[in-house]
Amino acid sequence: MALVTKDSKNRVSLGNVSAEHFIREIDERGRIIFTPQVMVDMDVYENSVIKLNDADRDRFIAALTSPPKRNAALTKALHKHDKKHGKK
Amino acid sequence: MSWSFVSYDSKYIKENFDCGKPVLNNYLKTKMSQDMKRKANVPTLAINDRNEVVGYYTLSAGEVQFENFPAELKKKIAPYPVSVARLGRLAVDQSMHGKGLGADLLAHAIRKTEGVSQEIGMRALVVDAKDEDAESFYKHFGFDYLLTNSSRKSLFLL
Repeated sequence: MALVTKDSKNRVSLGNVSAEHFIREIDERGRIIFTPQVMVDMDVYENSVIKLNDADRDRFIAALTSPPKRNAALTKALHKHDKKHGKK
Repeated sequence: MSWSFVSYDSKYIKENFDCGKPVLNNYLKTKMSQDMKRKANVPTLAINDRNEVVGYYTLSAGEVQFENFPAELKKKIAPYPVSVARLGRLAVDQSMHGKGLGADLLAHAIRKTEGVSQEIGMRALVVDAKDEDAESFYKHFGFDYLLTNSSRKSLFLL
């Protein structure tokens, strides 16, 4: 961990960090510890990781190991899309 | 009316976009470019012949984890966590409702995900249905629930 020093006006430079929020704590030696906290929109965070319980896990694994066929609506939509835009 | 799919660019006209859901309108107009710059997701726009945005969706990477992961399942499911693509938002301007654009946006997202999965491991496409309309839309195209007994409606497609 890099230490920062105070200037003559007791100011601390935090460099080029762009974190939106800092947690300020004082340790046992009286030093002020700034911990940067990056604020993430809840929906962005929620969207990155999903955790499944046992029942949902088993259903998901069953689907992964034996994928169901795509239904008629999706097959039709994909076909229409490929015809109009070309399949990538 | 026809449309074409393009990558995000500020030149496309988005001020008049209205899908009927303020949070999705607001996202396009105020947050999409920021998210793209910080690589939170990659948006795709549907534009008409006047360069107006008439629809969009966003894709990002995600993963599915399990609360419990018994040893006997590890062989079946490796690698773990399960890498997935996330369709975060999908919206269609009200002027284009009923014209098949929603289905076409979804198809475009699926083909894009299939292409990416050829380059890096992606095993499913996951969506979060924000309301009942979205839930019905995804179920119509065969998405199944990832989470049951949850207020959060996450669905997936393989």
